[in-house]
Amino acid sequence: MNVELLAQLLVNGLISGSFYALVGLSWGLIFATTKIFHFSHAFTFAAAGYGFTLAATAGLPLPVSAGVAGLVGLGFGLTQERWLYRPLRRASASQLNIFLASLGFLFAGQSLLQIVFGPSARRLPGFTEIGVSLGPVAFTHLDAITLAEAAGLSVLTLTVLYKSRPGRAIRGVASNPELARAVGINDDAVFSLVFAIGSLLVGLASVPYVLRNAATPTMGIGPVLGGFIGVFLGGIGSYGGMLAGGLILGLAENLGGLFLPGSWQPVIAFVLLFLMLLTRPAGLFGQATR
Amino acid sequence: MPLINPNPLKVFIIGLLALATACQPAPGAPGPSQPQEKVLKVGMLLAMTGPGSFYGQVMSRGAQLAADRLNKAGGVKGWKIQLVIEDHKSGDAEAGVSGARKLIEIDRVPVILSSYTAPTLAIQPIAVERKVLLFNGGGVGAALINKENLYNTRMLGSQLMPGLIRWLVQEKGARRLATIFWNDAAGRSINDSVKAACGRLGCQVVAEEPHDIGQTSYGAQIARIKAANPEAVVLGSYGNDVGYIVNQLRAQGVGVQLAGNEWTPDAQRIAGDAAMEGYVVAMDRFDPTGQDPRTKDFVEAYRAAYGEAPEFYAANYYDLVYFVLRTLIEQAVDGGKDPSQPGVLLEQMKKAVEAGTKFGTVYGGDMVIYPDGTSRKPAGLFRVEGGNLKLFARIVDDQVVPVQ
Repeated sequence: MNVELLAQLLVNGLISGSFYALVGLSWGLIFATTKIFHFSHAFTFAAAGYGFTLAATAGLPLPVSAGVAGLVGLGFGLTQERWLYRPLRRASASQLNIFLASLGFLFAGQSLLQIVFGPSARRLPGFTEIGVSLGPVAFTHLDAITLAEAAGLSVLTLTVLYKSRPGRAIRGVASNPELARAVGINDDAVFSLVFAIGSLLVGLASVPYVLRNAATPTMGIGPVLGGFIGVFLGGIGSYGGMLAGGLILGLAENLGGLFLPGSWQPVIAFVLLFLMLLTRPAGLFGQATR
Repeated sequence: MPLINPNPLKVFIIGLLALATACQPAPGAPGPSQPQEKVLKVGMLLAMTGPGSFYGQVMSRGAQLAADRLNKAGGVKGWKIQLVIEDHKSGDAEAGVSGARKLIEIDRVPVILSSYTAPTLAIQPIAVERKVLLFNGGGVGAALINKENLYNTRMLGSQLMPGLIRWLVQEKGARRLATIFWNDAAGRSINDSVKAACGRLGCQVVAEEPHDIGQTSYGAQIARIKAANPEAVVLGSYGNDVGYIVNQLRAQGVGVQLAGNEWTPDAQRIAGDAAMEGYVVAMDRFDPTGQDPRTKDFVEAYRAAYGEAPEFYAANYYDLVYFVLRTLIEQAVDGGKDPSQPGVLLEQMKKAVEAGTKFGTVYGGDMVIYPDGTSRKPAGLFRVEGGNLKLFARIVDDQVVPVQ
């Protein structure tokens, strides 16, 4: 076995896995609480990416622009919850109808981005990645930022979920909404809260992605798809599991490169998902629900 | 009790629609008070949405500019050109077939200007069945050669790669090459061309990495390329993908010569000037700063219309409408035929190819299209210098001739 290749693929896997983990947590938090298959999270990701690019291009410092991305994400997420999903819930729409509405919103949003900003990719001018070599392993300072951002935000989110009153309310609604309502928890408020947190997280996750790649109207689909595969791998009922699922997905995709061309990455991801759904439908760390 | 209860409102609406339909003039027939204007519909099947929407934008601009200029001059022998554009969503063959059926069956176009290898190949049998002339000015797959009704006015990868590989081997001393390419007919064709050229020139392909179209992260492919320790990397990828690959190869410490069959301003922006510096591309030699009168005329008109200099793809589709289609329409009308009828332009194209007709082009010089559907135009090797392409050698019959 080529040890140098193994080391490089492990590092690549950790970096992409941490990104999937963060995006997965942002999506899984919403799904676990609201049961909404929020596919237009991909639009939130893209809108936040454009927000970041515009702010940074206008001359704002990168950390401030990252804050703008988070706020844009938060704003779009809350807008969707308030004006798209809540009316559908009130009208007792089925989950399929809600999913279709989300899909429609995503396509409409992408078209809107294309109309407003044009079809060309928007890259942040002047940003260059600085390469770092540690023996046989190479990565960039942006890779390190991606890893640090994912780790920091994940720990912060878990702390909020497990150590704060709103976090307990979120977990309460996620595990038993009827009981949560019975003890006086306002589920509309909790839904808004998880959309706010999830959208803020995905907005911030878009920052390293845009710095590496560029802002395009369709940029959100791949990351969100990867994120929710990680969520289903790890398990809906476990926030730690969602994070672990993202890491496992990133590592599996990359370590597959030891034996298979890199173009097999999506196949590896879906085979993993399929096997998991077949053998442990609740995911590695999830609990079977009634 | 009737099974269907007729709703009076529905009956009224259906009646209105039927009346409106009955009052429509027959397709192609002039309205009662309109002067008779002959319109030739030209179908375009382009990447208007998706990761390759840049191509759709510039290709449609090039063709539209040509049509506008011809129409402003009174049309071609009195025929005004109207473009009808459909979207293949950046290479989706199914969307391409759907768009082509609409163009042929609803719009009744006698000619389609297509792009991308997969959708062009997918619609070619339909074009044959309906006697529609088919052009491709964007796709590069070798499978586009020798297809009935199909003519390619972009030089294909199999025509350009031998020159590029010869340069890498002879001028850069590269004996170990890695390839990274689109996992489709176009990309695989480039990979096959590189391997074939290496077989002749004594180099070796040490890593072959296909990837999905529109991918943005290439960590696994690049790790495998690095592990193979190549002396040059050849890209058989297109559009924005080129920018992502070049950017990530450089960021991952791959410092060897990078070369390919594609460069676009968007790819340059994505890669960044530092990463893209020195990248070499083999392609039809369109130079917007060229001094050929046709080139200057086109560049000025394009700038006036769109506020920026045209690039390679806009030039290809301008050529197709302004020079190739114009010639065919003129021939048809001179021969007393109606160019809007199925098969007429196709027949004129076959005659022109057999006669070795030299079509005009904004590339400088002339373009010759061969019976196998390939074409030959001035082609060259360009190097990215300071964010722009600079021609440094011409490719003539697979040989590389330095430009002074």
